[in-house]
Amino acid sequence: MEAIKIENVHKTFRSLKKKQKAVDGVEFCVDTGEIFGFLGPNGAGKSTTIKIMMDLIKADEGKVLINGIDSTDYRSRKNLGFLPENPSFVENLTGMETLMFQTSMHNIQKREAADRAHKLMNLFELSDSADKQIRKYSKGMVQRLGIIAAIIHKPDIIILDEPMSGLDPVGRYLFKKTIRQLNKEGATIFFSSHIINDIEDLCSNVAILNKGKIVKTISKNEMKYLSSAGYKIIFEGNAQSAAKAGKLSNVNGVENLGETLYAIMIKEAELLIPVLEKLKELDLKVISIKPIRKDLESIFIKLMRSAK
Amino acid sequence: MKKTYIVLFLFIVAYIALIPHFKNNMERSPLKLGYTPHGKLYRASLGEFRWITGDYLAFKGITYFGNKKQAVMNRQFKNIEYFNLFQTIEESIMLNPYNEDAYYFAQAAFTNIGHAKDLDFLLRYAFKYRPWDFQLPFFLGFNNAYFLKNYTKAAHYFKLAARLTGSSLYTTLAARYFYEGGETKLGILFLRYMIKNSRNKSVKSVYRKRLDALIKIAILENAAKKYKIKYGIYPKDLKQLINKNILTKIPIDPYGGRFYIDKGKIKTTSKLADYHKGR
Amino acid sequence: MLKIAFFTVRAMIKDRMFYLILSMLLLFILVPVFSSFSMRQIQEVSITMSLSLNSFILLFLAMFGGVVTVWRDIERKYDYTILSNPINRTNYFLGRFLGFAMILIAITIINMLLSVAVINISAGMYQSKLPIIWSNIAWAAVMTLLKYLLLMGIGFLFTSFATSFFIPFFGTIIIYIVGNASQGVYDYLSSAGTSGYPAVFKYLIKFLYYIIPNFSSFDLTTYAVYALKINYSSILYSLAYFVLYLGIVLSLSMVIFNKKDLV
Repeated sequence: MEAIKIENVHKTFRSLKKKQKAVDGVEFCVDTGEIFGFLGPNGAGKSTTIKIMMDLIKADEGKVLINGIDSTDYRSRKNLGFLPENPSFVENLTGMETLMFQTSMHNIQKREAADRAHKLMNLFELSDSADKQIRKYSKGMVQRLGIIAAIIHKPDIIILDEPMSGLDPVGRYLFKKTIRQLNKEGATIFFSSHIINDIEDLCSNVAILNKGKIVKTISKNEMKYLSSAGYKIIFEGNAQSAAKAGKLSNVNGVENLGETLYAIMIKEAELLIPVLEKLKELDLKVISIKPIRKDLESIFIKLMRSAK
Repeated sequence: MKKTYIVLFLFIVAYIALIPHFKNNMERSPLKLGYTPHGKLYRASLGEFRWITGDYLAFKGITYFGNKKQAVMNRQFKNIEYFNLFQTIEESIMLNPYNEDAYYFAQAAFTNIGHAKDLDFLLRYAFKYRPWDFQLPFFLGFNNAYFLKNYTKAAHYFKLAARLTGSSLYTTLAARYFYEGGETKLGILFLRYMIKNSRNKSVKSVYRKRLDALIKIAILENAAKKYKIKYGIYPKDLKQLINKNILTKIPIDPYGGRFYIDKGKIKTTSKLADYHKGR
Repeated sequence: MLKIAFFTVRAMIKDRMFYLILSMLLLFILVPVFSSFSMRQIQEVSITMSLSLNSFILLFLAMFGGVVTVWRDIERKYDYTILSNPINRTNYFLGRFLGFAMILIAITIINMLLSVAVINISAGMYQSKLPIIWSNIAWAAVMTLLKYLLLMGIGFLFTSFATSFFIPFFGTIIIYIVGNASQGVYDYLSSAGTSGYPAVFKYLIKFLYYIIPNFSSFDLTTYAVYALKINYSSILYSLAYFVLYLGIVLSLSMVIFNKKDLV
């Protein structure tokens, strides 16, 4: 079943001076029950595509189906939650009032709505500010409120535009946990980001967008493969052994991080296990193994090359 | 989406159907000028907008008067909001005494309906701000002589006007009206001046009609004077002027009345006499 | 639509600008004070001042409402969170209008209650020859309300296609001024004294007269102040005019707004 289907969507912004093609024939499907990532650098057309999905911007061509209903029909938004990029809410109202308004738009009983609002505000640590005007909220607080507003009516489909920007590490953790929980309960989740890590952790499928076009739609594993550029291993031990570790094959040199801490880098992912074994032989204590990620740019270059 | 177009279309059709009736209703509306507020606070609160407000009120009043031209010509004064009109023009002058239109129009519209005294105040007020303007003492002189019968004041103002223009016309004017029948001549002179200097066509045509009447009165006055020189007394009936071959026919009052003579004074059954008396 | 309307009211009664405008209600205290300065027109002046103050407050509110609701939603991107709910744009837009209209109605009622008080106080100071016809005063207030609802509707129309704050704000001001003057200018041009003007100019003005709202038809102040007899068929015309004009303004706004990209 396709929860979201985007068919050949085009959009050009026209102003007096220039034309700018923002979305150029974007096409993809999101299956029911999956977490779908929408990856692309800033200005790739992610937000425009999402606004077309929400009928905030009218497409020049093509259409969007949400649960089989055309997105220009307001009924397509009945079982849908949406978090815009840098959301904003009427500043005079309190967080609680805002949530009560949002739930009333989905015909949720007042008592039930208040109950859910309290629980979610508790979860996202907004309880103390529930009755403060939104103008007094920090950016992160508004972001968290936005996430609550997008999920409070228990939608089948949740669309999130850059949901993790403006969140602190705790917020990110809470967000990811909530998303996984909602997905487990059956919600389809679609979100955009320009940060690979965010997408990799959560998504089962990823569409990569650049300059208004879908470069490729790939699975989570492919994504991991594409983005991985080796590992950085940090270990503890004496200087002699560390120097030896630096001379291992596929390792170019060792770096002293101070006192007895050292780091080496390996370029190919497959070589991780043999190198770790060698380190064990040298009696070095491995403290952490960090994958090294490629930035989006180099992934695009790689994808472009493979497309040719 | 299509529904909104249909709704818009229906509204436009209904609007087009209504608008001629609405327009007619607005034109019939008896109270079009309305009340203009007065007061120092109001003036002060306008700040620098008092000038434009003054100009606007003058424009509003003159436009209104232009529309009521028919009523003015037929002397149906009940159909005119004279009270509101006067208040509007009065406030216009108080707000912007520099505006020539306002006092010029006031002189044209109000002197003959009993506002000569109020107008005297307004003209003096405007003269304080426009000391270079000979027209103001000219009007003041005329009103004092013609309506208020205050000849000393009239002479004073005509002298001022003469000094400002350097023309002796106004000093001779000062002397003129003392002659018998001079009033009518003064009126004619004044109307000629106003017609010559007026751009507003409504005001002009109202004046032309009045001038026409005054000229006819002057003809009759002259004839009556001749009669008196010949026979020692004024005729009792204007027909006597024709009988004695002084006139070939009695002129017709443009206001629809009939001229007659009363103790040597030419009068008419139309209400032009009010103009003469100045109330 | 009603949900959006109540949402609008709730947000507005917490707005600082709204309170600033409401503080003008205090000026009603001044009505008897200034009326007493008049010599024989105390009652008349108090009615004029009350109605004018009512108009003044409504003018500010209508300007504020026309600009602050939908336009601010777009500018501050509130519309993203509001329109992501299952609601179509027509309902949202009309709901916003209805919400602010309810505020205007409520303020008119408050103004009228205050007016009744201050007019009674003022009328007690000096016996006027004219009676106070309360129904005339009420009609004048109702017509004022309609006038400013229409003005606010025009603000909404400007918002529907505006890209900057200036279009709805100054557009509304200009329409307000022109709408007040249109009947006067039209009358002037219809009068005989203007035969010298070029015909094209006259047709243009007449064309504009039909398009621009005619606010003069909503002015019943003199009827209220001088206890004149109101011509009810005239009121009926004005009501019909109001309904149709507002209908055009709002449905045209909808046509435009439904196509708008909310960037």
